[in-house]
Amino acid sequence: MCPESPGSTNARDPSQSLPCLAFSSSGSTGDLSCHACGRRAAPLAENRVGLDMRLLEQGIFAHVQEDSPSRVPLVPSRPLAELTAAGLVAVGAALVIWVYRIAPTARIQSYDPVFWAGMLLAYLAVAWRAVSGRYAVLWLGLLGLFTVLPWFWMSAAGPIGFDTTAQFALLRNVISAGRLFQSTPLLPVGTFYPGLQSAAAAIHWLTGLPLWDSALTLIAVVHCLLPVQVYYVARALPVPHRWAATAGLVYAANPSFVYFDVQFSYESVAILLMLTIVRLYVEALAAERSGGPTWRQSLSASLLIAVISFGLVVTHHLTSLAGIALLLAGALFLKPISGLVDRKGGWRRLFIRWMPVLTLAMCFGLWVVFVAPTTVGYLFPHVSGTVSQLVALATHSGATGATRTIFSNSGVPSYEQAAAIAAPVVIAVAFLFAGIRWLQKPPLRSNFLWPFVVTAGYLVSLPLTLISDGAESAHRTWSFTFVGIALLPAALVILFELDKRRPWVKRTAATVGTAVLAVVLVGNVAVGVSLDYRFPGPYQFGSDTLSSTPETLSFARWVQAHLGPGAHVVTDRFTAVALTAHADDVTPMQEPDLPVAGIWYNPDPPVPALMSAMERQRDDYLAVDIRDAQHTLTGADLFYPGEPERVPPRNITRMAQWPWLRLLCSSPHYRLYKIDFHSYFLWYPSHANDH
Amino acid sequence: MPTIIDVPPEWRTRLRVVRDPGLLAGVGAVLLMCAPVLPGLSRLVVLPALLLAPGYALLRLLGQAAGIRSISVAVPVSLVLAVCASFVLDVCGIRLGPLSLGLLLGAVTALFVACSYRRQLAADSLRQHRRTPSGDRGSVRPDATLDERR
Repeated sequence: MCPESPGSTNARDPSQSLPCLAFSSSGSTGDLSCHACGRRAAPLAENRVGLDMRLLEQGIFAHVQEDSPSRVPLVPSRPLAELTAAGLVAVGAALVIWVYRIAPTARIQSYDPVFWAGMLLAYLAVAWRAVSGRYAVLWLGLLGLFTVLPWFWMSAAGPIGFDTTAQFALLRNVISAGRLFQSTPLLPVGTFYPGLQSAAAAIHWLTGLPLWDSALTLIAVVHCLLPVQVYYVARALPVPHRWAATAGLVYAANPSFVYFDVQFSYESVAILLMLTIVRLYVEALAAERSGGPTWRQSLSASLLIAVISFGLVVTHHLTSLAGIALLLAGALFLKPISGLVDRKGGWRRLFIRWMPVLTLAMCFGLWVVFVAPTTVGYLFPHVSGTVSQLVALATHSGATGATRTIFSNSGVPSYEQAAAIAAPVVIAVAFLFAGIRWLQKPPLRSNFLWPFVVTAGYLVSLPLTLISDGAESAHRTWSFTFVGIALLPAALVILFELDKRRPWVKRTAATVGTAVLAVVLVGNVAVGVSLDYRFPGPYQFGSDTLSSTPETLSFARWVQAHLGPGAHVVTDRFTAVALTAHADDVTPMQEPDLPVAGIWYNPDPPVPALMSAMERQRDDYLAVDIRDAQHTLTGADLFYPGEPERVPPRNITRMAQWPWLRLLCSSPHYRLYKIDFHSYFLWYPSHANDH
Repeated sequence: MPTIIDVPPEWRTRLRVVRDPGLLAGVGAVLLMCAPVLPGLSRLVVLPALLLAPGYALLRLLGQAAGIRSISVAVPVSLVLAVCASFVLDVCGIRLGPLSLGLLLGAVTALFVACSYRRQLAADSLRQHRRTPSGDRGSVRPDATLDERR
């Protein structure tokens, strides 16, 4: 067994060991060397004695040490080095916090460079110790904890943003009802995916933490483990320790990592479950091909994957689909495989290779068919819209408005834009080099076909960002496809045998790698979310996070105090987010059978069918933000995609004259009306044609 | 070289707990069941139990527990088991809350821990049985003394 292989970390439990399979004879001498770690194996007798000693040492230190590095560390692993790195991370955190304190009143040009100084300082300090030191897993976990800092600082007081508010509303409903499968109009499909809420509710109930703190605790714990799982995926392939640590670091530079997957949203938890499934799957394959495990061990590994698969399916639909895709790619492209069914490997290999894929796919299929059939209707428009726009562009028919310009009206600094364009280029170049070398060097191929296929998925998704309907879909896939990209540095090092080159080549490669990591991080964060999701700032019309002002909060407080929680208030998207988050209101959204947008956009008064539907749902209140008629939206829609650019001002002022609306509350920008349905049905016949 | 028998007797229990996280999972099960009655901030001690104990107990039962590497699997598995426990209660029509969830999750964890020890005992006895040469096994009388057996 190679001492640097994944199995060496687990010497106390031989059943769990994953022997290095990359040994090959050098020919003339008969010595063995490991492709994965590049280390020569000692003669057999020496190996046995050395192995005994190592087993003894690992028995003592296994509780505190992570996988031993593949070579002597560049910097000795001393407490001073670890403390220095921890200090640098603390300085980085202090810089980020300082930025968030000044951001509400300062210009982005003044604080964005400081933000990046703090972020890069922390990332590079973690990279230093994770790659060179012994405690890679701890450092990767710390990086996960560090990266929750920006978003947690922004949302410390409570949920902000559309997804977070919707999920938190579901959580609040679960807590108050004591039952799962609660609903919110903001996210109807969320009803059928209660995994996130039940996990957060369990923390709240069992620890007594406040509800929002429970939600943040859950996300912090989950986020810490994301790069750790990628590290273990790489180790199981097998990739040497330091390049596995690099894989964890590169994954932590994906576009969703710093701002999207830290939100209290179902993807944030589901992605950990998905990565855990992928890790267990790759480890099970590695253990099986080593010939070590018995049928019983293979069954227990499959059972464990099945348990987590259930958790994944009930947590998030899109991540479940991504998990199926990653496992399917693994089943097809992780070696050794002989044909599609791989019967040469025996039934156990067939079982280990395909059972997890089938389990996850079957769990998801059954869940969608029997519990959450609305998932199809929720996901399908994203796919069909993208396809139809692609077809329209290809055939030059009706393509107006289908294309978009990246960073238009975004206000993102120029260096971030440059990095955002450079990042995919760098990834594509790395992919090209690694791919060519992979074709040239069959003995060094290892298991890199799988990450190459996943990386190809990322590269294929890039052009979709230039289509208005495809942009969001493409963005959402990147946190999954970055699992493949994370393994590109390891592929380059192993395929080009950089570990065996002269010191100056290694130093140059390390410098280039560090610069590339910085560029990819800056670029990916810039494309990951819009600026209003990254920094606090002044009021911005049409922003989920910045449209909430002190006036909004006092309006929400008034509503909560006078109407109580759970009041049904018909309003636009942004006021709905504020009232749901801060007043615990139910805010019906535009639906085919509830076209509430007509109250704002139609020149005629609302029709009885709509008002009857609202009365049935007990939508008794109407909240209006008069700025809807003063500004033009550039981002999200007020009610539905393709709506008119602006609400006609007279449609807002006419509400004050309708006798069936009673003004309850008025502030400089908000009006709250009570709807008198009885008066409306008496009033409407004589005013149906009023304009 | 110092060995485990060189340490003072009072340390041995502690060492045993450190070397056998299954016992910690058992403590976690008790904490989960007692969570509703713990006062104030002391309930925070339940957090590590909730995040680690159920998952580690299941890993141990399935023979998948492998030192510190298991922590990164035990946490997601614990979360999934918490979700599963909520589902079971919801399907059974029992109102979700600290008492129902803590009792169910703690009981399941305790069951997993107990089954894993039972499985370990069975495996140990089987291993011991296999180590004994088959010829010797038949030659020893059931009523033989210890010296005779040796």
